[in-house]
Amino acid sequence: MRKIVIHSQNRDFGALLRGLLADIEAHFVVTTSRIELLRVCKLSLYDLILTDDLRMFMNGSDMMEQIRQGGFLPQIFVFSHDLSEESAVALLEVGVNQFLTLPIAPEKLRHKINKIEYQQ
Amino acid sequence: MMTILNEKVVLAAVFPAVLAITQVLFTTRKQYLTYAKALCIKHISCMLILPQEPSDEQIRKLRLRFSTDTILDAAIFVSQHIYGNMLYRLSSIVEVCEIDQYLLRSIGRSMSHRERVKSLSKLSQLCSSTAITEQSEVLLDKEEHSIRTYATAALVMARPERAIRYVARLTHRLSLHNVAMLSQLMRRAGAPIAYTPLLASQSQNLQLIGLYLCEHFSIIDAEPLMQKLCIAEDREVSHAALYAICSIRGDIATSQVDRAVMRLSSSQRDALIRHLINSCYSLRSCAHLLTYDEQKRFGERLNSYKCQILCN
Repeated sequence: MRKIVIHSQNRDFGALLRGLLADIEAHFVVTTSRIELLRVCKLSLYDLILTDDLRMFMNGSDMMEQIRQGGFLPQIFVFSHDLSEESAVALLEVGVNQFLTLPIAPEKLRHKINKIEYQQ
Repeated sequence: MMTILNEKVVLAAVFPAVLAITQVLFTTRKQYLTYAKALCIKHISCMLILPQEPSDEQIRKLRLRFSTDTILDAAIFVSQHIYGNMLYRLSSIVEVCEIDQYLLRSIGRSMSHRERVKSLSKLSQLCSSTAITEQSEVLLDKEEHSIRTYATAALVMARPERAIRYVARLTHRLSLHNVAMLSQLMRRAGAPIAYTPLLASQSQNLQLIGLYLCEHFSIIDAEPLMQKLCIAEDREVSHAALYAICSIRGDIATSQVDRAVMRLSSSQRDALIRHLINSCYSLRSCAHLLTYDEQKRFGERLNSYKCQILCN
């Protein structure tokens, strides 16, 4: 079964994603702080991380190293209202797999997530 | 004397305790409302992804579980964060829970101008039913500009096919913020928009919306119409057309652009210089529009470290 982490400091956005993906067969973990996210990533291996927290990737790839460790590479999808090319390129260079602008189309998001092959 | 002192001691002890209890109750209530809103958002988004349309019974269960204010805030949050076919399901949730009627009643009851504008703004963010159109149209004839603007926004979301007609009905000039807001609502609601009739329209508001859309989507084909609007009598439209041409990196060596630049004040010219630099025009291409001092400032800004951060 897939393991998905939903990380957002905005509880409402985490709830929205959780609701939109409610019928997908996966084990979900919702985190609201970066410390919690890192703790969860250390405890277990996850296939996908959905987050709207761009700033944690903006100081380089330190955060990415801590999330992706031991050779295991979960996919990372970042959501943002920021449409600037610089942000998108910076995130893709750090190693983010998909940059999704808000508002999101729920059907497209579910289709993308269903296409991911889980690694476990 | 002792009695008064005892009273004061008691008050000094009781008052902070009362304050502390009030603070705890307030914080608990706030936390509860935050939790309730997140839970409501989750329920609404679960309903949106059901394989069949949610029944009225299922939607009424939502109303029994959460307060109208919580459902309203949750529906607005969901509406702001998704697009596509599921917005129609959200509109049926809004209709069955009667949230749009609730907002219209609060507009009618409210004496405060600010509260009415706030309610109208919330209504414009919801996919409301067409039934509220008649009630909202009455607000278009109010005196206050902000009420008319936000009533137009609510009607654009409810009846997007009539969006242009509603905007043309406005008699006051829209601010740039309101132009951007209405354009965004038209796009989200799926209003049929073509730039040519907007730019060729007699209404200055529609011209501003057309220019905003052409600039946002970099519609190069609209440049001849934008060049014509550069020499429009209305200064705001002329100014917006000039900026739109620069944003799409159009030809600024025309007589229309020349005339438009000559009409600008010194602070507006300074702002235009910054916009030309951001649009990646070289000093040579802009030299004919600028005085000697302005060319010098242009060169200094172009070579500044800020420009190198922004433009590289």
